[in-house]
Amino acid sequence: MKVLELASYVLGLSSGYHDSAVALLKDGEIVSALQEERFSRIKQDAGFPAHALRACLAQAGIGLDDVATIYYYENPVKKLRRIWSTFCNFGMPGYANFVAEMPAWLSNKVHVKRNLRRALTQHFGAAAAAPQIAYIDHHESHAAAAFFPSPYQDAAVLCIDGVGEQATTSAWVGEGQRLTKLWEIRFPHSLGLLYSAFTYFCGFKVDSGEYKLMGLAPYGRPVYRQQIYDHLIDVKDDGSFWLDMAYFDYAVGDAMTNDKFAALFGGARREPESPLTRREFDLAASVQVVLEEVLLKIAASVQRLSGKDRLCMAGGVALNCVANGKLLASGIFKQIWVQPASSDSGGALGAALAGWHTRQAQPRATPRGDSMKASLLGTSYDDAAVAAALADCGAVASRLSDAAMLSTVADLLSQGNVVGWFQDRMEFGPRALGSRSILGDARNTKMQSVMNLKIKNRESFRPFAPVVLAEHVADWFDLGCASPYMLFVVGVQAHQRHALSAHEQALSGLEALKCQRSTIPAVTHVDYSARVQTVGADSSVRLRKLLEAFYAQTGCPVLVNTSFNVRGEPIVESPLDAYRCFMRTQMDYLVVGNYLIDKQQQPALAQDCDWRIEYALD
Amino acid sequence: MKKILTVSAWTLLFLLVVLPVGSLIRLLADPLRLRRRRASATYFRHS
Repeated sequence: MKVLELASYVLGLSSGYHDSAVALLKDGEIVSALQEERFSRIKQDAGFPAHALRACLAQAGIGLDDVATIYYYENPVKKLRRIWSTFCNFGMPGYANFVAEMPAWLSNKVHVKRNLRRALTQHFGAAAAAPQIAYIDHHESHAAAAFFPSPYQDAAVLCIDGVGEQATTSAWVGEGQRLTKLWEIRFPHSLGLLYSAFTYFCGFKVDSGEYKLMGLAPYGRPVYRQQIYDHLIDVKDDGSFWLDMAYFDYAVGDAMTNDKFAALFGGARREPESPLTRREFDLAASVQVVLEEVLLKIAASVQRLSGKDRLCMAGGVALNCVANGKLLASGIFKQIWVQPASSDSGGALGAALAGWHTRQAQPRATPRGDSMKASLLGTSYDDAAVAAALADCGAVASRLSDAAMLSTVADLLSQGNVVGWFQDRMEFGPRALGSRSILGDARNTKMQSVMNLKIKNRESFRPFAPVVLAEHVADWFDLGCASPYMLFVVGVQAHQRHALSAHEQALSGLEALKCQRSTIPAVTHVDYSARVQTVGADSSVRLRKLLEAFYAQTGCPVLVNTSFNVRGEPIVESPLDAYRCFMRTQMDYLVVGNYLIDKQQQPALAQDCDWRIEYALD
Repeated sequence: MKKILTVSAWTLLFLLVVLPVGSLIRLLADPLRLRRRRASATYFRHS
């Protein structure tokens, strides 16, 4: 008699701070991972991920009672211990926050299991048998998210973020289904928080403006580098570091930096949205250089200690693609794999994977390549659902065959149109990788400013990323390996660059944007760098076919690929989100599945409100 | 009223427990620990 074996499901969950998310494993295979922000339309939503969980279960066709265990991505008891000891360590300056925070911590925040059970009952009913809940340490969640989905059976693992329970930086060795911690650096000494402190000081939002600081760095010179080393951070030869907390306020205060920090860098922090000055350019360049130098030292010592020649990375700092590019170029490790959802949303995935492999001692599968499924782990909409959604919106759309749609869109792009592109399953993580993207022609000299100012409504200095057919990457970029998750910044190939006149070379700050630096100016940053995404021949995403069609028409295998949203808005999740975003911006065309939507033919959007009111600036 | 009582209780806890314990740590343990760490070749805490 044949015994029917039931599949085993475990769920990872992150919530409470930022980037709430869920991830579902079926017999160890990642079947779904979703961020709550995409459904709630609140950027980096910290709330209980009810919508994401519902969608996750629906995708798998199961109920909550089919889930054996929920693994939460950090340990609140350990976190409370760290907060308590921090208040003890910092004394009187922490008084106000102690009185404000500790009651909430003791009465509510530390009781995560109780709170999760209540939320599950509230959203899924008392009848839904709540699975057991277990905690995974924050950095173990990151380490698991970095190693277990990677293509390696053994590797060194490096996690760098702001802070978890106590660790801010940790190194591990991953072998098969085991993760062994080598060392850690503890709060308040944190590379992530050092970078966030400069983000704050330069007038950007902490936890989201770090991308902007990274993009700003090439406009400046690292003139504050030595000052940072002399006053803020002590770095040993092995890359371990210690921050002088006399300059920072984040440990027990409400701000990231204090007056002493301001005095060191020539006065008060830049007011958000005020004009950028030379100081912010140089501060960004300086802290970026320090981050890269410390990262290279840490990587070298991890390599020595672990003896491994492959590295996996996660944690918010692993999203610093410029530093990742330098690390890749250094050759310290032969291969590097970075978890595409490296911030706390990826913690949900890591918690599930750590629970499955290390707590339940389940072996890893050995797939060819990584097991992230191109990070396309979210919701999808079939043709009928798209048609119904567009009809509900009142959209005027025409349905094209696959071939006609691809050649038409390639043609529209080559004519300088900006196209919203909604296909396949939604991406998990902060990057749009071709499922919820806005696309443009990388050769177009006006595309960068059009996309920044008229489409995305964001700051003019921010660069755009290229997506390129993998087999052509070496002809356009200084990259010798695949980069499917857009996590490495490399140089544009020398033969694609344009020589600048003496006058152009003398331009500084945002004036530098006026130069056409390469054959693909829309994706070439002012230092000739680009954050490359490669799409391989084995990729099943429709973007691959579109790139092929564009290449066939133009001889250029590169497009601009940016996330489908406006400033402050989470990436679109549904066809309705896509249509609203399309109608509110100056995008020219929208493609949802096989439906082509021309802006010129659309009726005015009913009951619309200004996106600037709906979404707070990031 | 309840809020005032809560704040007062937590203020007392802070003044009577957190501050003295913290001061002791800073006076005794911290300088030793810091000196030891600065003198050592690494800030890593090995497992």
